[in-house]
Amino acid sequence: MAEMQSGREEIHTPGTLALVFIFLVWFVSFYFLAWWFLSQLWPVR
Amino acid sequence: MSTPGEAQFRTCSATGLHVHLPAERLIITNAVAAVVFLLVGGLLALLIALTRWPAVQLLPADLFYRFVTAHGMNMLVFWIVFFEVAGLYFGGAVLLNARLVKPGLAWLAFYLMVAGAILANGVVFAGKADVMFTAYVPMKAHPLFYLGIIVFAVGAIIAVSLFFATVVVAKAEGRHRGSLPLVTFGLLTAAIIALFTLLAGAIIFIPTFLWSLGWIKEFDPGVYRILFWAFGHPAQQVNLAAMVAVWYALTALTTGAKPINEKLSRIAFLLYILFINLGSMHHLLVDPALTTPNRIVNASYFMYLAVLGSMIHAFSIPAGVEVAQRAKGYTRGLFQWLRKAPWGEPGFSAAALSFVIFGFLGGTSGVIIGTMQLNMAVHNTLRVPGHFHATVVAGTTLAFMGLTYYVIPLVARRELVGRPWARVQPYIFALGITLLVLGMNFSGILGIPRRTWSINYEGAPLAVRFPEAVSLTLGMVGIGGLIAVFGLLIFVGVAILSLLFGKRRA
Repeated sequence: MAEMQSGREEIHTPGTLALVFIFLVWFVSFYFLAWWFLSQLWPVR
Repeated sequence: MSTPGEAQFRTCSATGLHVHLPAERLIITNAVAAVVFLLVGGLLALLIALTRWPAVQLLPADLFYRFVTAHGMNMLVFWIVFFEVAGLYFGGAVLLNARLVKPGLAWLAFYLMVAGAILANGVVFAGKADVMFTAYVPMKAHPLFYLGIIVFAVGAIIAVSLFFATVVVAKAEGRHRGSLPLVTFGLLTAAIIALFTLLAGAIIFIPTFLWSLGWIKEFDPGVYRILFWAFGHPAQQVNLAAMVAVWYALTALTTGAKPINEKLSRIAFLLYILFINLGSMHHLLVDPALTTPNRIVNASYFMYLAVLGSMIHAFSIPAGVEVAQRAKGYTRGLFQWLRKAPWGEPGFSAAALSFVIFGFLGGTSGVIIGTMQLNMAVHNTLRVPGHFHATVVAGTTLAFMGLTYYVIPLVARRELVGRPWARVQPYIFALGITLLVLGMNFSGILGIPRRTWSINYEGAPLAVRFPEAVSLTLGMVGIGGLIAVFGLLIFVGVAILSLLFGKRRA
């Protein structure tokens, strides 16, 4: 992922990056679902 | 440099570490005590889950509230703190090749913790403290309940202080040079949070003890709650910091993973210390004593500075595993490194399952339900225990179970008995807890309250109806609890049998 200075190894973690994005999508979905539940329970008129 | 008591060390044949023998004995003793209280709490969990499942409704009402109190104390306090003390001695002495400072005082700490735990348990089981883990004023328990907690806390403070002293002396005696290993650094942050947690606990439990004796006449419930959660949430952050340290340790032991940026991982631990008290506001979101802007700024903004620490670890830990696995040749596609990870090693599977369930179910649900507006529909429902069982049980407890499978051979020097059982145990426990947590979350969404013996409300002046689906969701709680306790019993069985009958290692 991060290209280091010369003489140091490159860190390559595409799998972790994919997992992190999966987690981010889950987090955002979970958050919106929670707000949707609240809207069903407590409508604003 | 020669140091006093060289004869009290042995060299570990597996790791090459110099293990201080008095520290070794204290690690094992504290870990055994932890497992005993885990067993008590786990059996209570089974009874409680089978009561919340309406099809079973096992316990009568009075025993339900009694056992919920005991379950909370034994799991959230006694099991976890004993294990963390064992972890501190391991991280402070063994990992630094150092001697544990003043082992005599460490034994005093142990006996105080045991005495306090037995006293508190005794009072609860005698029916004199049906006040739940939070013991909210004006509910008043017998004074010995509060005294038991105070005595336990004094022991824990001594143990934590000895850890600090051990780290300082390790440096002074030349046992350890340079930066602390990351695992010890993580445990150090847990210990720092533990110190101010325990001091906050003293600030709340000592006056409550005096109030229970009648020496203080009145105790404002709003003040109690604010001071209690100054102790209560940092207490959970101790578990979080310790759990993350254990994740780094287990991934290193099982895959050879190293942090990809150790400095960033250390900064992430520091964020926990600096910001957790601000996040504690999420326990006070419905309290009338505090203003809404105060609550929103702390729980919905400052809290994220602590969450940022978790996000850094959430990247760093799997990234370390991926780098280590790719170096072994598992480079095909995005996830070969993950498929070929040692899933048969209980240490790795426990860490991985703990990481995933904590992240996807526990941490996210906590951040979400800690939002002030959302909390209005969540407060006092089963969604709250749904959140913290994903964090403390699937997260911390499962990670500690995984570490135990290494502590037994490396520190207690006994081979594991029932290795095939140890291999499947993390999966069984994780399955049970996931079912339990999902059941709790769905039940809470449908309005099922927490800390409530029955949802039938017989004799109530107003009829309360829940959707039919709660039979299914509460059934998930019951069945998930059964599976999880089965997993817990396997763990306890493997641990105890290994310590008693495991083949001795050199």
